[in-house]
Amino acid sequence: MKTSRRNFLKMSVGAATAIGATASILPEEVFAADKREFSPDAVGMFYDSTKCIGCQACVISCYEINFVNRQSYIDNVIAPEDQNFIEREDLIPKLAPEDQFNPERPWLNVQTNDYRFRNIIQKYVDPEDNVHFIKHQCMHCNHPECVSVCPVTALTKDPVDGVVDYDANRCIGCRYCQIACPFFIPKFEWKRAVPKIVKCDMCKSTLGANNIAGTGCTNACPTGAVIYGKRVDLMKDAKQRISNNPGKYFKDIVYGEYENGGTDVIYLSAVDYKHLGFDERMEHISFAETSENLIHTIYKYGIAPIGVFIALVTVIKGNINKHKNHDDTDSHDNNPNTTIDKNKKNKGGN
Amino acid sequence: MGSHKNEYDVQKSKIFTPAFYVFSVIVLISVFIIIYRYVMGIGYVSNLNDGWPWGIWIAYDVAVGTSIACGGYVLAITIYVMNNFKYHPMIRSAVLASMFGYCLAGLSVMVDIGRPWNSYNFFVPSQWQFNSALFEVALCIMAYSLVLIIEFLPAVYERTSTLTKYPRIAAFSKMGYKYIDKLLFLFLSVGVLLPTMHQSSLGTLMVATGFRLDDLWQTNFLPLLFLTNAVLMGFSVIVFETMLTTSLFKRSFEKEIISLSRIIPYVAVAFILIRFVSLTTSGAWGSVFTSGTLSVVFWLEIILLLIPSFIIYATQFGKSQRGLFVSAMTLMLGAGLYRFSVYLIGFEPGPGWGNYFPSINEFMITVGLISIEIVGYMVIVKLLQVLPNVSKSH
Repeated sequence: MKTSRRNFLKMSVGAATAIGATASILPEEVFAADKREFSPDAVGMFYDSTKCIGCQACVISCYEINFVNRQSYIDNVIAPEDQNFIEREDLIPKLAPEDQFNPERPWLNVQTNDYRFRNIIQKYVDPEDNVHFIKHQCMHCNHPECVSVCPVTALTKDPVDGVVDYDANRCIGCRYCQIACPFFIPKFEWKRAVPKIVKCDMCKSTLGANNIAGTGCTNACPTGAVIYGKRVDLMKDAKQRISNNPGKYFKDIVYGEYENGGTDVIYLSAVDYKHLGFDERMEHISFAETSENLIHTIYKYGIAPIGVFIALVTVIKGNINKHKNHDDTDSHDNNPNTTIDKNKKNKGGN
Repeated sequence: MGSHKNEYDVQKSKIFTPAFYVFSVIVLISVFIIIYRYVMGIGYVSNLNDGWPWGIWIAYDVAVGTSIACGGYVLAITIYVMNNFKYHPMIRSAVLASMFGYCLAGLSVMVDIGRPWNSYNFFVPSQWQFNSALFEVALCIMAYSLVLIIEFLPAVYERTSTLTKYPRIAAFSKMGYKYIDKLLFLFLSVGVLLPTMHQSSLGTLMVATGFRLDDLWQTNFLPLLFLTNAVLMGFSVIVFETMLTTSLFKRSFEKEIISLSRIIPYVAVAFILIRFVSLTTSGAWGSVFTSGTLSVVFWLEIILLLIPSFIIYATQFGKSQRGLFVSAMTLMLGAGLYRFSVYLIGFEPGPGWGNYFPSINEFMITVGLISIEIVGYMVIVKLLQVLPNVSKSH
């Protein structure tokens, strides 16, 4: 036993050092900046909080297009006969019991983005009683966590227009995207036997793939607080507004230029973004980058698993044969204790 | 072919005990709840919501459950890699428990995921996603469940090959036994490789959550920590299981377990050391006293590992039947709590989501799955040669 324990310890220490060494060279690689370039044709949305009056026209427009009348909008994009029956079922708007008509509280109950509302407006009142609004929907990150973690590629980022899209026909409903999203965006239809993930796809599924006119929310906005366009143009616009109004915007930054590795949806606001529901701990590199680097370091070219496998086969086969030989010399009087004793003697001899 | 025959023994006691009926009723209840969940939707049976997308079905059944099922894994390493064949009589019961653990984790995932009919996508190469730790975990768990079933088949074949009434089945069993015996080294190698991969990937899985996992747990060492944790859990479970069958089935005390338990303190200390190194690299020492409940959980994890490790390492009580049982159970609690923290307690649901506590139905499904494991284990050890043969003199 003593020998083997020492062996085991040696091996564990060896393995630990090997993995530890790998882990210790990680940080440089892991914390390098996100090198992903934006597609020049990436589309996005630009929301200027100082222009928003909180009318929620965008919320209702999105609700109408993507929830209530989703089926008729999608029929314009994909012919009904090309949709399978689960897709048809998916398109029927179904309200959870708590959201159905209630005579005692007849108004809509909207707290946050949910399976009905892919974008919402939230309000923040600062200590000077100034009101600030914020529009929350999918940020369409350049290196999205949800796409990175989805085990079956149900979530994809379009390489050209940059839209992070969802395919219910692939989704297994594991909800890892919800766990990983640092903006808390993907929502799930909890009260449904055939549930799907719900998130903004810039109206790609409902208004068509190449909508030049804009998304449901940008078309509905009466003040131009949220506008649709190519990300490069929107970014220029945002920078222009900052230089025209120095001091008006928080720290003169465009939120989404670098946050989480950069996002296709960008923001301007007069107050700190931490008050508007964006976490302070957001980094300039996507957490997807960190986890992918870790995974691909451990499994680089499959060297580690293949190497371990070959080593295991050799060692295990050798040990089994050794053990079997002892069995044979014992002429099938299989007493494991005597076998072990012989093993020990052998080891001692070596 | 009867080379291992004397090592294992059929547990000679009644199958239909009161415990059997109690657990079977629990299984039936949970089956009804599972049917209700499929007809109505996950939200009708669970307290899961958009802030807490993963509850105990993932945190307990998958993350903790598969680590409890690592007994077969660590024992295979001890016996076949470290060449300690004196523990060989214990392998079958460990493999049986692991088989149940892994298959039920898979079953639990099927209850948990919203669109299980799309699971075939795991086998469509164009949809493979090598960036996703979950992809690897899913494939490895499926493959390993299969390997565990194959590793357990010899026990079944031993029984079916004696069915003189059905010569065909008997002949097939003899053949199957022979081939598995011949290729055993291959199945064992895969069976050691796969848990090494997916147990570490269960840790990698939460790296992508970034700040949504509290600093006390979020680190690039998660894969190494989860692997060490799985080994620790595996050894503790073997000790726990052996003690449990010893007292429940009134068997004589297997002395081998004392020498096997000697390794536990070393693994536990290694785990805690890696944990401390990871806290240093992620600069989280500042929050070990200042995070309220989370700090308490953090220290609880460490204390639950350190105290039983000390008992096993240094005291005479740690060599007694009761001492080993209590220590192993405490170790399992500590190691399991760590996984629970990474998957639930340390997770940040987002603004306005409050706390999560499983609903009764949700809890019942998990209890039902555990009951399947207990009933299955109890029945199979009374039908097949699984438990170590302790009637022999040592």
